[in-house]
Amino acid sequence: MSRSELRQAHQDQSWQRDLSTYDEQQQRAIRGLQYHPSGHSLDETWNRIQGRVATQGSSTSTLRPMRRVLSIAAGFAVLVLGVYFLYLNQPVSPQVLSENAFQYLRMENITRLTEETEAVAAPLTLREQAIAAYEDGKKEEAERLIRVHLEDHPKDTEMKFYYGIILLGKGQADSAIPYLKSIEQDQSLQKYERQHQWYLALAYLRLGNVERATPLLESLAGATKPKVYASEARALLKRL
Amino acid sequence: MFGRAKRLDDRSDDELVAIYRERPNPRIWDELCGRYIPILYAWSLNWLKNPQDSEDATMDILLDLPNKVRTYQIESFKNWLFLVCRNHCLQKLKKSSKLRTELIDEIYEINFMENGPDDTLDIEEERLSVMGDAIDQLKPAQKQCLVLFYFQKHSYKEIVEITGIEHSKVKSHIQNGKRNLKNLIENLR
Repeated sequence: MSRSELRQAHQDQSWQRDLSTYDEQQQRAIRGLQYHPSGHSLDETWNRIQGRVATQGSSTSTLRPMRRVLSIAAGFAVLVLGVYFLYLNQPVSPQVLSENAFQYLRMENITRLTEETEAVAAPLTLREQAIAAYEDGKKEEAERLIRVHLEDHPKDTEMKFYYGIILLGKGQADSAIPYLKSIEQDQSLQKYERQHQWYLALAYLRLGNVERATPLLESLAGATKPKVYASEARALLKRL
Repeated sequence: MFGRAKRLDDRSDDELVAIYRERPNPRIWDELCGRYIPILYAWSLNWLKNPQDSEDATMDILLDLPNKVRTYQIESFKNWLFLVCRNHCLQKLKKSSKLRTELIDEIYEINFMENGPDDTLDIEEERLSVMGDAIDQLKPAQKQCLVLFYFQKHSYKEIVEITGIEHSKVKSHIQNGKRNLKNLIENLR
């Protein structure tokens, strides 16, 4: 199966369907994909594996003629210098930094308001459907469900926060900011304090507003406990 | 006479393997890795049900590939790689003492040490494979809790944090899951 077929199978959750038309190898590949974390890009995982293989494989390669090694080293040096002068030496815009640093926050710690039982097949609330869609990587659907949910539950600041993250992920930083900030008024959601600072900083950077982003990043970078987002914040501050 | 050489990405897997056996070349190996990383990862996930272990398994299989390709007679590279992956993953599962002592032995009610012929799965690996397939058929909550506990080696507390399911329900999903797993496997016999 090609990369695009596997990607599509993961997106469509093909393991939930009848796989009898596929051969054993294809069936096992599709069924395996259900265990890949939703919200995590398959391409990123594949690239990471490729990088690890390349790094470790180069140390076990059987071909080591000295001339080849030297020519590769020389080419690499030229490439590094070229990249440095053409790219790294140029300032990177705050918008690009924000885009590159952005990842969707997982919903591991979200407050679940209802319980699932085996005995009763209770219909999922909109909120639960939104959580499921978000966790499955269906951000468009999650956005729609959260928006409808918030119409009836305007005080659900936790869902407002995740809505803000989805908007930021779509590049709508100006629309995202009020939702990301809404969590500041809710003392019961202190658990999101660092996440709130991080995503708000990213939103400001996306708008080019370095002055507002910097104090948030400095607060994250300087914290000793917990250290969530500390190293990411330091990395961004170095580039600003 | 001066025809253009075929590009690597135009060559079939079996052509690349044949060339590699005669003249080991890192570019050929890189091309094969690039082609097979996605499906190796998916196959590994099928057996190991653990993303991190599956990444490690994919990497280990590919790093060992140059040696294996030169050692074994391979008729179809893809089919052979599938078996290599299966054997590697089941060997890895065999080494998980939690999986063996708490799940396999309980499901099969046997503490086995038997081995089969060298070129086929031994009995334990066969049981791990059957059990892994049966787990895929469980209800979502039971499957999720069993996989998180036995394959991804999370504690009850971590499972509660990951899933949002309360502690007592996690335990009951695992217990009910094991019972249903046993029934599924019995029906397969």
